[in-house]
Amino acid sequence: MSARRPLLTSLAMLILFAASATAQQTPAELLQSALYKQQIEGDLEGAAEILQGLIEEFPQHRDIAARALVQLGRVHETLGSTHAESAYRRVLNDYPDQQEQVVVARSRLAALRQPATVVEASGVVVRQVWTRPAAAVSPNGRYLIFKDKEDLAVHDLHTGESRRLPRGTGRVPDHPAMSPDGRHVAYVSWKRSTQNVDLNGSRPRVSELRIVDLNGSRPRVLVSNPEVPWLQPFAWSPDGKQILTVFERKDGPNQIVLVSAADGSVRVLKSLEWRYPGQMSFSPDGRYIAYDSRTRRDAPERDIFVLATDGSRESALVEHPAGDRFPLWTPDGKAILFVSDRSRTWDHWLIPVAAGKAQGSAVLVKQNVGPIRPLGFTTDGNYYYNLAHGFLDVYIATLDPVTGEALGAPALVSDRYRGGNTLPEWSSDGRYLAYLSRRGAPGPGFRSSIIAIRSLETGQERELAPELTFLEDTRLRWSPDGRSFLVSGEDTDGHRGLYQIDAKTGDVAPIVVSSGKLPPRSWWNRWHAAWSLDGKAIFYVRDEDGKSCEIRIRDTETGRERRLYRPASPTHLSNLALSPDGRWLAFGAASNGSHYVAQVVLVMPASGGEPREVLKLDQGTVGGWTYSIAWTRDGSHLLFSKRVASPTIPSELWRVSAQGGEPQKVGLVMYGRGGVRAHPDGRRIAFINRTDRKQELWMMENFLPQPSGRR
Amino acid sequence: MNSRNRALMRLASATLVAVLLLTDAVASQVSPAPQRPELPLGLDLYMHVPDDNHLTPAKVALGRMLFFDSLLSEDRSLACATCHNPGRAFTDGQPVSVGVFRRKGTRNVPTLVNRTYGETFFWDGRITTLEEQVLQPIQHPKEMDITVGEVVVRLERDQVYPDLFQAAFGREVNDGDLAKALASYVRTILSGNAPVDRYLNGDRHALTERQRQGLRVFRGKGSCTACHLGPTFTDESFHNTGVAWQAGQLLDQGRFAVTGKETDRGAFKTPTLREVTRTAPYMHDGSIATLEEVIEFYDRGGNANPYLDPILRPLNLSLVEKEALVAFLRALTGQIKEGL
Repeated sequence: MSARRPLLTSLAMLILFAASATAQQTPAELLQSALYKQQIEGDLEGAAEILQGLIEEFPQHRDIAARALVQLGRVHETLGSTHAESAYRRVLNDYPDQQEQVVVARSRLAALRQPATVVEASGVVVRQVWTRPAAAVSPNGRYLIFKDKEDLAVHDLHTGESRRLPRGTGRVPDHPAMSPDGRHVAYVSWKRSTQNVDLNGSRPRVSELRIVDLNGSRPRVLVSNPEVPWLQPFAWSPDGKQILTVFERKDGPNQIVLVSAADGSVRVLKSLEWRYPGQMSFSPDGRYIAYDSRTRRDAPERDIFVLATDGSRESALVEHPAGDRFPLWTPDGKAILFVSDRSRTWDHWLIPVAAGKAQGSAVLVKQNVGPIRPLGFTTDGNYYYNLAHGFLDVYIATLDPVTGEALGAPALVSDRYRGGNTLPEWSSDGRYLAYLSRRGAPGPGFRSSIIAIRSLETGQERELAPELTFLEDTRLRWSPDGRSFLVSGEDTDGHRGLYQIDAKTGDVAPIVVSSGKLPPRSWWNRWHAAWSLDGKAIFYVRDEDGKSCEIRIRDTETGRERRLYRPASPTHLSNLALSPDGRWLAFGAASNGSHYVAQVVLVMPASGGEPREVLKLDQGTVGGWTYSIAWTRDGSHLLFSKRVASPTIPSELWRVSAQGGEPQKVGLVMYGRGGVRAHPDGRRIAFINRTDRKQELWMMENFLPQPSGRR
Repeated sequence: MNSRNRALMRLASATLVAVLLLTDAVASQVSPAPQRPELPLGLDLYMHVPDDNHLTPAKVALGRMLFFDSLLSEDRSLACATCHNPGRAFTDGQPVSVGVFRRKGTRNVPTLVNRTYGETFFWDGRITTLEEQVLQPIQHPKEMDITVGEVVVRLERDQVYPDLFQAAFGREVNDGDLAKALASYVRTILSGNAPVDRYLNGDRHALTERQRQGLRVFRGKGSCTACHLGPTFTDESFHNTGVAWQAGQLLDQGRFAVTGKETDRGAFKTPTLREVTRTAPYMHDGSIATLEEVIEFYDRGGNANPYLDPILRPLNLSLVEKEALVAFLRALTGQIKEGL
């Protein structure tokens, strides 16, 4: 008893402390905390708890309480919980005076009562199944396996109930695959080895292939081999005897293996060395598997292969320069459905197949399906997939040239490849907008990006696909004569630096590159640059070793360079921007060792000389730095992104007089990195915004072509 | 042709004829049913076999007989097996091959084990199919130095071969089927079920403590898996380790002769390490006699030269680590099997 007392005392103190901490927070701060939990930490239950507390404790703060209820509804929607409806209804009943929230609540209630279903002219029915992503769907379409924090859980679409599957002794179960009879779930989890110790003394990670019955009973380990630190089950064979899995072996290669569901014995079908399938599926007769894989280390595009399960043959089913991925055998076994971006959007294609070989060309079956992740077909032939929304896109906004404030809502530049469009840049005549568009897997990153050039008059786009991997922190800078782009990138031999890309052909020519190969992901290797006004020189930050930044000017014809500025002490320099009259160079600076994003905005003569400080950003707990700087066209102000303290807003657009002074809010939320560019008309700006990435489960009925010509 | 090879040939012929007499596939009918060799532990189930050259017992038996027959060399002194001696894991123990009329080649004889998993062939990877590869040494002036046409004529005049070609392919002797038969046989030469295979598949006692230490060096400090990985312990890629760099120049341009790429100068294909204890001497020119010396070579980072692969760097292995590495390499000696 006495031993438990200190523990109880500590707990009581902790609760009191937490309660007093909550009590000290204002309703607005609580709402912010909930948003932070939800959107930054991804802790939905935690967010729901804070919101619930706020609503109960501060009902008199009607505007905030109503907002909290709407937010609570959204959290429950994401959780797939039926409590979402009651939260929205409470807004209508208890807060009818809060018109803005009432409108939102009404629209969400309408959406919840009538799940998004579209019957297309072709007869294809597209329906939202669940507001969360699923990791697997049962063959009868009733049960979904999904990730619930660090567990796997089953959601019953008939009852709306969810329950967690037992985790066993492993950690973070993932990649569930359901057996063809819908009774078992195979998945991977991992733990630290108890038998072995690495050279550095740590216990190596051991992944386990496990099976559990759908009702949560009989969890068992099929494979546990210290030589396989990672594995991923993909599919069960149609007879339920084998589990198609990828082993990532300790000694290097990835292997496609078949694991016996009965005793865990392993047959290695094929070693892939560095390649890793994105998706694998069995043919309905179990004689073949289809998988996608990259074919080159330095390119993200994938092709599709068919491999006989007896190892007797393999054929390249889809070989195309575009990205072809996510192969799924159709239920009749006569074709393989896959996703391809060969027509410059993510589309569904179908290729007829027999005896493991293509029987003709692929045909387009559904265009522009968006960033999807197919899950498979159910026995009734319905096709399930997760659909992602949001992330990065380019927008155009109009600013009041006098006040600098935003006029109206920003307009999305392109709805193609949504979520992967970044780094806008105007042509000097203002007739075109170029931007980087990601063409690999949906999400952030520039490995597979192309340059899209959009005519503002016609809306038509053309594309450049230079043989260059853009660096994560690259900028797109269009030359004054319109003939080329200046970017930072890495060529096929691994050399990083500044490159010139021909705006007509996409040909790549180095301007200045690092002296040797650099380790991947060296974030400090930024190579920010700007063109001179006549286009014959570039200004750039030389930052090859991450320790000694300086600004140089380089004649692009002769290669002659001159140092313009070198800080007295080690300082990160970034985001060079030349004033429209070519006389001034603005840039960001940050002291080494603390931040590598700019804390100070400086302006110096473009011919060289001491810079003067225009702006010093606040040092908040979350914010206080900028990722991008641009001049207004009249040269009077500098536009800059500012990372602010609000956890829900990544950055805001601000402006400051080029002479210094008090900065002003422009009134736009934006994604700071790669940032903002001003149009020659002095009114429009192009910038990037980021929306929260969200995935939902969708399905299509009746979308495969019918042999009888039913549709 | 030495007496051992002649004996092997006679044995192979006799076995083959007996098999053919006992089956329904004699002479007039070709058995079309493809077969697969039984795979030793550690190898992939998938092995590349061309659609137009499925493995059949008749083809493999014919290929084996051809492989051991000195009829395939100009002066009838050499068979494929002369240089690819099964007793030495299908190598010859010489620094470089010695062809007809004692003509000396320039490169070391590579082992033939697991070549069915190969992507390119020869040290410079100039050939991409086994069917093409098997005819090259026959015609090479420093190897067997005979035209394929002449070999076909010899086979046509032979008392046994025309029937065997009929049995295997259902037609008369021709150069394409000669290649197919030889390639089929080579595809069945497999090495696996070594201690390392048993260890990797869960038998934690298959390697000795020293070998396990060697495996850690192999994967870790030694960086051997940068090139020697997978079931065949090769990346099937090309690297300049500086072996060809002597007195300030490359004695052999290696892969460059195939691709013309500067970065391929002096680069040679990574050889398999399976059966490595049986395949001395080492490197493309057979210039290093022992495994211990090979490890010393890599420990000092190879031979510095302008085209040295950046993977190579001094390893600073201790004596214990070097010995462990050798011990581990011995665990790559497994069971060699050939035929169906």
